[in-house]
Amino acid sequence: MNTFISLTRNFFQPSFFAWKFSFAIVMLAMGACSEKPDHENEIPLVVVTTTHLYDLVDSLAGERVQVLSLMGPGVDPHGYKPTSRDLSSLAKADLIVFHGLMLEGRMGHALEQADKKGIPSIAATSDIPQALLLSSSEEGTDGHDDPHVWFSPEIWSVCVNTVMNKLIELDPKSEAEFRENAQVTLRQLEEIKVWSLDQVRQIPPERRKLVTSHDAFRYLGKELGLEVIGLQGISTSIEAGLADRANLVDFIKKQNIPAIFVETSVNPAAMNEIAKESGVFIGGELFSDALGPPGESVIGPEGKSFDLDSWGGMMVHNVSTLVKGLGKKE
Amino acid sequence: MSANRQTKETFIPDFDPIDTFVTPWSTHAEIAWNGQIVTMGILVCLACGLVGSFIVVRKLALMGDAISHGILPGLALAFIIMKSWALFPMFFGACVAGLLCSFCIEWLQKKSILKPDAALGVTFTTFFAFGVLLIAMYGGNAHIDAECLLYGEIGLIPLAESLSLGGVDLGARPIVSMFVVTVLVIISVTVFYRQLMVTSFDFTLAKTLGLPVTLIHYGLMLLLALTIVSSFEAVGVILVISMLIFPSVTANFFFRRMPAILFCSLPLSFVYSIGGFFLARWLDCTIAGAMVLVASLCFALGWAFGPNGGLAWQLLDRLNDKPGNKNARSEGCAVEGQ
Repeated sequence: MNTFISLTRNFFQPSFFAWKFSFAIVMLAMGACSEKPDHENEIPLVVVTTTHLYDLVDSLAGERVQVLSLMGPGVDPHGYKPTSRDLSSLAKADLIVFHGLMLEGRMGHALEQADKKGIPSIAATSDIPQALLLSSSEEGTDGHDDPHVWFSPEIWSVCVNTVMNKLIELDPKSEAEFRENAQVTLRQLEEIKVWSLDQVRQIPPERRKLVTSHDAFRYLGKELGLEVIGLQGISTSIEAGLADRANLVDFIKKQNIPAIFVETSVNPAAMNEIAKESGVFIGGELFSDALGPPGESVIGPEGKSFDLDSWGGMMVHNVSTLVKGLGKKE
Repeated sequence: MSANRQTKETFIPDFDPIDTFVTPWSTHAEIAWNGQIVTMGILVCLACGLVGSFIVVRKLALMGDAISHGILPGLALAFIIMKSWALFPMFFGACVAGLLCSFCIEWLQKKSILKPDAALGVTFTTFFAFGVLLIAMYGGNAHIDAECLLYGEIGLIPLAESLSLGGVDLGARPIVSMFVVTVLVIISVTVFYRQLMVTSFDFTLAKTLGLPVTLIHYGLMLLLALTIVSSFEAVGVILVISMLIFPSVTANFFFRRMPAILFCSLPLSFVYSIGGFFLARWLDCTIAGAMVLVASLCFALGWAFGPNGGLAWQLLDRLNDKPGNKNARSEGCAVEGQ
């Protein structure tokens, strides 16, 4: 033990030296912060946060850029935590496209800052006119806007243009191609909008009520004339209270709602219990905060096939599930 | 779609040394980005380790837990009054709340029949609940919530806004403030080393010597609050607590004297931060979590093989059957004073 004590004494003597040394390292590391990314001759890397944005950027510039999505299918953006590799891809990105409107929570703020730090970044929702946005809660007390704008073809087309302009800025040579792709995408939005309205008209008006886990579908409801009731609030991070549950069960019984729906990115346990208590069946899974898995498809307007991991497939799947669950007119 | 995204088929991915150790440092952008993460990690571990050593010898290991939760109402009030995320009101609010929390704990301990741990539990949960209520009632779009306090994200540090002084870019704000706090901690620990030691180990002697015992206690608490406030944004309070405790208890398996234990915070902070970074890279998980895992691993190694009360040495003594030695070792587990 004596050896250790003497070791210790010697150890402490040069400590000021060591501290100075560590300061030098810290200073060096800080000096390195001001470096800018330098890889221009490769194809640009566009990092996006959600699956919706992956689909959007991929359909606009699939060939011209490399697209990387941080969140996979079935990931809830409200509770997403970036992993080490996700962060490295952000460091390498030539453009970051994120959703905005607080969908990514605190990460959204950090990504906004990236623009000032030399990594171009844009919120896809940044150009949406305020008048089109819904407030997150009916009381409108906390002033957030509902971020689930992809359910409205009208608003999503604004996002398409925002992202297109940013992509043109990134790669001006491919402007014509981006514009052409955007036209195709916008035509598809319009086509699906018309088809969805047509489908929903088959549901008897008194049954046009969508009961689901969280308040994600209010734009869809507004678009299609459905009444939307969510168990949880706008963010999935706040658990529903007991009173909310009891109210919802009463509501379902009173309104004679035939089916309620669960979401792929939210734990279905609570909705299953509510279905049991109120004696209705689960009408199916809806895609809310994330698109579907790759490799599966659904038949949409005019017998065309849509991939579930695309915006079109998501809309077609959701609308057909709703129509099937709530029942057509006899 | 998943072609571009790394899907995890297995729980523990294959270990690829090139991808783990070399790829993160292959471009300028990545060196700058990852360098900032590692630097922040080192600063957090160092500041927490130094303050934590004194906290642990004073048998106040969970005081860090208490203060880190107790600062929530301070942060919330600072936000509600200033309506912004401004740096100084937030620091000020958090420090006041942290000090108040430690004061309440002391006061409850002295004035009621509560045991110290119960007093601690009662106080900080009350503070935390008060903070949660404040945010729920007035916070509205305050971008703080309990979750943001409990889990930080060290990986997003490079994206934090820059702090510039007189046109010179100093770097990301959390790193700069953490650097300042770390320097402050090192200076105070060096200058007030004797006072801190005496009050930590021999309370009666400290009183006889006429040292301002209470002042020193609250000075240490202030230092603790400052360290926690500047690091919670990066690693989250749960991980701050582990960074406060791990360095000194790990060092304790190797050294018995306080100066050596304090000094051990430096190499350990490098090991935790760099090791955590590479572990996170390998497992593709969050960095702060990996840092604590590395800290736990170091602790386990110290416990197994440390010369000061380590399991291997105890076993060796028992095999040699030298009762004198055995006594010496078991006594050696505690940290000695001057």
